[in-house]
Amino acid sequence: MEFATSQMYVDSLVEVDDITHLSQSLEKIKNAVIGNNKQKHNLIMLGVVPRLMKLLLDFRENTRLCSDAVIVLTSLAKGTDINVKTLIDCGVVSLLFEGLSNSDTYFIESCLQCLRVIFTSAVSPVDKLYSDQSLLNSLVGIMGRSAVTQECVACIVAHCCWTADHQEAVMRTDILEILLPLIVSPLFKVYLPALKCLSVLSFRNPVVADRIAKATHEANPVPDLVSRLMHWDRPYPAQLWASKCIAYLHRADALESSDYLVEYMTLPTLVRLCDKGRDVEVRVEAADTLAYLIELDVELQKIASVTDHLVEKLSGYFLLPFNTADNEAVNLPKFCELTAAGELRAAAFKTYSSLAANDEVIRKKVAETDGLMDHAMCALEDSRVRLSACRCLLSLSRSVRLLRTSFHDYPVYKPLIAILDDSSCDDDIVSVVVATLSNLVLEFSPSAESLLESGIVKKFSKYLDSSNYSLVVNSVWGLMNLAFGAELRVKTEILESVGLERISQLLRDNSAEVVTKTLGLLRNVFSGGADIDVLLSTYGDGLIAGVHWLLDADGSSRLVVHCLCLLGNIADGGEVAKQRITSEQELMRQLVDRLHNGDTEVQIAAVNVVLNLLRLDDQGSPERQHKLIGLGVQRVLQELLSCTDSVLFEKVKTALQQFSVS
Amino acid sequence: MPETVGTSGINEEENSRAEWLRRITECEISRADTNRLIMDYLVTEGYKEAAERFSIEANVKPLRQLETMDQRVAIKEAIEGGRIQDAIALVNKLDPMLLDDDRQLYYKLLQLQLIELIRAGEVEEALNFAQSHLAEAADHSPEFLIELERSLALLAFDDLEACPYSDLLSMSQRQLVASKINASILDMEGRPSQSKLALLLKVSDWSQCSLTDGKVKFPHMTNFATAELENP
Repeated sequence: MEFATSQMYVDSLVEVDDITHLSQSLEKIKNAVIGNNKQKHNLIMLGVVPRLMKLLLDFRENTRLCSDAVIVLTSLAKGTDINVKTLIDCGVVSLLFEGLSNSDTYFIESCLQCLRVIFTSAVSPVDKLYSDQSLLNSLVGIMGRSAVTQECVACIVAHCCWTADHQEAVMRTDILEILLPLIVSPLFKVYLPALKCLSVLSFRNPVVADRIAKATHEANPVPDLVSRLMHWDRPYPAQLWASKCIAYLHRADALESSDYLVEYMTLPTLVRLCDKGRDVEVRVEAADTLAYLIELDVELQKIASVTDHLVEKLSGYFLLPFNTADNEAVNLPKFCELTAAGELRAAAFKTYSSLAANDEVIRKKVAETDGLMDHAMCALEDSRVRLSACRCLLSLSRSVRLLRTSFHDYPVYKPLIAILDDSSCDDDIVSVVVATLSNLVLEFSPSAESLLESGIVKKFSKYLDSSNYSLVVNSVWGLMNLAFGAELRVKTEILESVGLERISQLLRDNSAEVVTKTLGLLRNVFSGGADIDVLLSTYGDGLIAGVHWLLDADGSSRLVVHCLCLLGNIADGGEVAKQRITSEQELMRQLVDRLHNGDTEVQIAAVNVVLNLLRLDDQGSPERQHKLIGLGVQRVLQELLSCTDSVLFEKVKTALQQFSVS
Repeated sequence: MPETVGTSGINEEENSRAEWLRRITECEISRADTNRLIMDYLVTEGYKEAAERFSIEANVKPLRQLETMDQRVAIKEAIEGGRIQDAIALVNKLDPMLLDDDRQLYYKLLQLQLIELIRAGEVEEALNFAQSHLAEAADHSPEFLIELERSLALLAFDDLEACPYSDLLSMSQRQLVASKINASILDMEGRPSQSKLALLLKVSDWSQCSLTDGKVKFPHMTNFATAELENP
């Protein structure tokens, strides 16, 4: 269409009162712009949107004419996202919401269809929807008018419900009562968005999920109705979203993993949707949903691993070429193919990661998948898939056997270290990499020495200052694993790298997990007899102060037990270590207090400290015993002989025997 | 391996075919079901007149109102008559969103329009049309680029029938597009987009393929139009 013609169309909408003329103009514009993004853009540039909006305001009584104007707006919105943005900026959304209060169903449907295009676009004005509860109320209020209103409102809500706040806002309407019957609609265009809506509303929301799981429609439980949409004769999107819905209900604790719908319907359906004959989008979504479904449940992981050759099936996700050959031009089809290849790989890695999370047999099966380790190594170098590849490797790295075999045959640690050295990587991927490396540094891992040589201690230490909680925990964990059974030089390097001040801060952290892991790190460092005396001479002051602070703080029993275990380790050292402990008056007072007043676990840990201090063949034992008696330890132990716990009793008896022999 | 001969003296392979035919013949399909299948085909494919006459002659009511077929019939006739602009206007009137949502379908209609211009010998207009309407389509759809190239190749031949892509000029090309539009409209109305008869044929074909994959020997129906069976 020539520009002049476009201008003529726009001008035909100006200052005209002839309804017929306007109607014909709108029809011509509609026919001219249909399917042609360039023409839509031209007309928008020439100012057609404000003209159409003015028409809507000036002729609001003529719903037929207004509907035609809205249809043109909808067609313009179906161009590019720039078109949608222009419509939003012109204020079309508010006008359309006003139109929903009209009594004419056809006009309402037109408005809703335009709103649906806008709200399901990449530039969807989601914030506007939730800025005023009355907008949501008006949407849900007209939902029941017709199949078109049902479809459009469900689509809008399904696309725009992203957060817990959004879920809460939507649930303040009566949407659930209106949505549930739509699942049994004979119209695919109605039941599919209704399914999507239920899914997004129940995602990570136990309250909503519970309501949906317990709801019925015509005496049929809603989950049963949803599961009927998983049948083979239903379109793949219906099977997929029905499976997602049940998966989300399960993960939100509304359905048990042993529920028939989860184990015998949803899981097999998702596995089936991973078949190679399906569209890429279906395979990717099915694998992602399956990964989410089984992520935390060992039994589901076991079932999935033996369902319809899933492990082998997922290996087919790596068949599409992922990279271009040298000098190969990337045209649109090639670009689409590369994107699809990346998405398939990421989905496969995610599912493998969930499958192999807990069970050793499954890990072995996954690791032995043809070419998997090669694919994982390549994927670590590509930002599109490296996060999911890393998660897969994390799951596999929990296997002692695989650490000694697959992770030895494939130097996975090298690309992992490269990721840590890449400053552009965000905390999410770094956290997973650190967690994986934490397993690779274990004493029996062949990669441990190489990692030490590559400066892994410094790298772990660096992340202790991160604001990302997971990263801090994983870093402490990594150092803890490094320190286990390590030589003195490694332990010294750890303490020097981290620094006493940072250790003290970690011991005072608000998170019990950080404190526990730090205590675990210190236990591993301060173990091994002679090493303890050497390390204490440099780091003793700060360490003892930290332990003292923890015992003084009103911490949980678990924390106190860890603390006393650390003390017990130190007490297992030479005379320097034992002397150091017994010379700390306040520390000894806390020890006696825990012997007297703690719960059984705490008392056991405290008695272990006493046992290590009392050891008869250690130098200085008589003096220490004398001191302990003076502090009332023997008396307290004698009182503990009346305890009912057999483990505690045996330890107390042994300790008292040490006193008797002296 | 020698041929096995049954006690009747008939070759076992022929026996199998005969047995197959016997079993087919013994299947009871009611006249009412057959008539409903035919009616469904006529209504789905948009043969309104035939459906009305068949309704009277076979005394079978259509499952849905024949009046709603008028628009689909008009669109089909416009496409098969080469009046593509009219067809587009009618589709837009019936469902303003359909061609915007299904761009491939819209491009197919534009391709037909281009072909009509070429068939009418309006070369300059055809080139302008291709440039203004179809170039953008080809940018977004690699499959359509191939179709555009095929269509424009017709311009290189004085005798259009001599072009390797002369199939684009045939009525079957228009019928194919008309059939796709018809299916999309039915889909938009929430109705099955293909007739049960077409579905049955597909199920039959699929069944034969599945049996073949399972290495079962049976007489294949190689021509569904004539229902001819070939020996196993």
